[in-house]
Amino acid sequence: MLFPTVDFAIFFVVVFAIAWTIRPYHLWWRVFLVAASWFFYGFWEPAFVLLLVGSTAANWAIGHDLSRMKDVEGRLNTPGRALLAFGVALNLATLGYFKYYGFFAEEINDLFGLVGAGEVIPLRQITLPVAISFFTFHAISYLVDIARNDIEEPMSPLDFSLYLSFFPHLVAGPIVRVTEFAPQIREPLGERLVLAVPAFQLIVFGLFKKVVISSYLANEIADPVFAAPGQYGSLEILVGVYAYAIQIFADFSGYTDIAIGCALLLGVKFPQNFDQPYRAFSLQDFWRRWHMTLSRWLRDYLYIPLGGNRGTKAFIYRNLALTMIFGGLWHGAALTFVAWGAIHGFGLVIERELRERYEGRLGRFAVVWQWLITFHVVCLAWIFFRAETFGTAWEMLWRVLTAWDGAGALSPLLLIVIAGSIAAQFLPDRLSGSLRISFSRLAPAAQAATLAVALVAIDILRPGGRLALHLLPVLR
Amino acid sequence: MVAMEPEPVEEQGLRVRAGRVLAVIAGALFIALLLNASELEREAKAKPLGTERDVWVGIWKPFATVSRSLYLDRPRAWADHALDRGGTGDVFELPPATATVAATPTAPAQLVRTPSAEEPLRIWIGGDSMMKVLGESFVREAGGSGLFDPVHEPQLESGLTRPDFFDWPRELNRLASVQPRYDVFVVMFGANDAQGIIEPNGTIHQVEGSAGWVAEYRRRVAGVMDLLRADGRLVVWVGQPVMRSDGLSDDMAMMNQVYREEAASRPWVRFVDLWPLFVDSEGDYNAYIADDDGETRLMRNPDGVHFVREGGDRAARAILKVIRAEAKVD
Repeated sequence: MLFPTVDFAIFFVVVFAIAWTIRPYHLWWRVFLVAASWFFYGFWEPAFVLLLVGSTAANWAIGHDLSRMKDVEGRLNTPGRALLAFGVALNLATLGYFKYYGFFAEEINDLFGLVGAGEVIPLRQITLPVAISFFTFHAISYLVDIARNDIEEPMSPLDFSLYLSFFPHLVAGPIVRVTEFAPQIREPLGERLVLAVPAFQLIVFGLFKKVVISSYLANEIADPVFAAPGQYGSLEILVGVYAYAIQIFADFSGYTDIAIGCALLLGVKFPQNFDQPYRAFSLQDFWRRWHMTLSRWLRDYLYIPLGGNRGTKAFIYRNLALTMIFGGLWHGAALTFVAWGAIHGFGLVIERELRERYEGRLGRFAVVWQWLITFHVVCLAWIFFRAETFGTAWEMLWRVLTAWDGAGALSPLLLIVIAGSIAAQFLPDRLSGSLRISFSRLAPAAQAATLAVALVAIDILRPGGRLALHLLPVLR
Repeated sequence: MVAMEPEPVEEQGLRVRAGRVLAVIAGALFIALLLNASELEREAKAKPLGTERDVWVGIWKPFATVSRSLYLDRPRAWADHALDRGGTGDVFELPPATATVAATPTAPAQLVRTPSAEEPLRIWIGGDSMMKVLGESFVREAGGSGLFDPVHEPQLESGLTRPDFFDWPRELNRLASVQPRYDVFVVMFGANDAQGIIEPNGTIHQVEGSAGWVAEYRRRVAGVMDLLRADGRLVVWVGQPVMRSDGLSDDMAMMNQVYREEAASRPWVRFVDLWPLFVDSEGDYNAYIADDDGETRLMRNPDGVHFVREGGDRAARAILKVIRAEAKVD
């Protein structure tokens, strides 16, 4: 089930009440959370639960064996390294089959088509199980952490099941590390204390971003502009791209904020996933603020194994570019996603070069330019991320520069929402802190009433049509 | 709680006992429920007829009654009214047609005028969720020539069986008389229509495809076709394509039959049959279909119902071909 639904609200209240009631019975508490997570996942398609359980069993067994295949210094021995490679490959192969089969089949057939061969690989549409991109990454990090001795001992089957399938992070992250997660579920209960106010804040604002802002911008301008750019002028396309930048931020950060809030209510603290990314003054800064748990996953399990920062400049640049390109492909099975990753990868490389040359020699107003350029490079990359084909992407870029007519699709409300959303990226943290403090001083009844009014207001402002809840490509 | 870590400053004093949190959450949802009960009841009533609907209606009804008697439903009602939101009852009422029709019933030589760059044909295209991607494709395909001026307004989850979710008769009646008027209407319904239907007299036909169901559905389809009629206006009725599920495919074929028959008796309506465009060489559903240029492309969404861009493009080209032929555009 999805977070912004009545089904989930009912599910969550029941889970919350039971989980805190049985919290002192540590074993049953974990058993219950695993069962609840599987129920949550099975709500989409019961058969997928088998995949989740299968992945859990296989990865736990591999992890268990890996932890015993080490030499005296704690490094993996040769069979251990082979098993690790097998485990990672198994995860990637499963993800690859479900997510990339169609992509590779089409590309390979096209290639063979050039030399006159027919359909070499049969074209079949494979249903992609929800959440597979995320539990695959969780599983890989677990195996690598064991190999690197980042985890002292492997998790019990029960704990590992909970780690992989814990429903708040199951579908769309954040990508939580074992070292963050395990201590929290091993913790014996002190008092039943909940960080409720920050959790409420995350959930309510997350819902608002996802259900109201993201859906409004998608329906109003982003979807139509990306579907038929030929119908729109320069200014409309530009605003459509800005709108998409806000839409994807509101959609994705909204969803993970709800996830973080729900976990917090159940007593588990997740890492932050978005930190006002559009206030970044460089691409490097952007990636410290955008989907932060994915960035660090890519850094720790791809960039560093590739060689990371150790080596010649060319070697480092190669690693940066490869990491971003792979990150692009993870978001979706199409070459446009590779282009998105490549723009960020090469952008980061160019940025490093420029920084080396001009660091400390910039004028007072350079920050304004840095912000503008960073935001527009990010937007340029979003065009390739969202466009269905390269043709559409090029058409949009061409029309932004040449089609100087028409602004009929732009309403004052639309411009206000976009400008307001960008301005909100610059709000100081203390503002939300003081909001929390004021809320926490309210009597419980007043808190309940405030939350209720917020929920109903979000429901009223929700654009019509339930399918308008835009699912990100990464949900799949 | 993470062990060993001192409590961050911003969290001091914010920890609350779980029982109290449960009270706040439950209280919030209860108040929200009272404020929103009429809407929840309305949405439950708009679900397909059957046990699930009855259960949800049964759950929300007492809350809605309490909410109304305490006037707690008023804020939401005012807000919906101010934003022009919300549906109407579950009776499908066809408003009297207001458009002008010549007294002579003979069909003109040309249904719709030939457009020029100065006066492009104004085309309204809409319908249910199938029309989301298809309509986007149509806007793109049609917009390029400068001879067509398309307006795309799909309503997700809508259809003709359940006006309580989205009142198409009211909306189409409004669109039919909008100025400057539309020269062409392209409509597509049916993907959400395979469910129980209620006659204006309250008779319920639970099973789609039964004689009573078809009669009521036919009345609605015919009514919408008549509603859109106007001199010099073409109505393009788009049929549903084959679906991955056999049951759904059978329902679509049954409804296509109704559309086809009703269109046949109305000279101003053209039925566009998408079915043959999306079956493979064996006549079955296939997500991959050989396109006009011979290349096999992915046409359908993983849900086995909706189009992806290529499928939308293929359907849009078929629709545009019919409009071009009627308007005598080369």
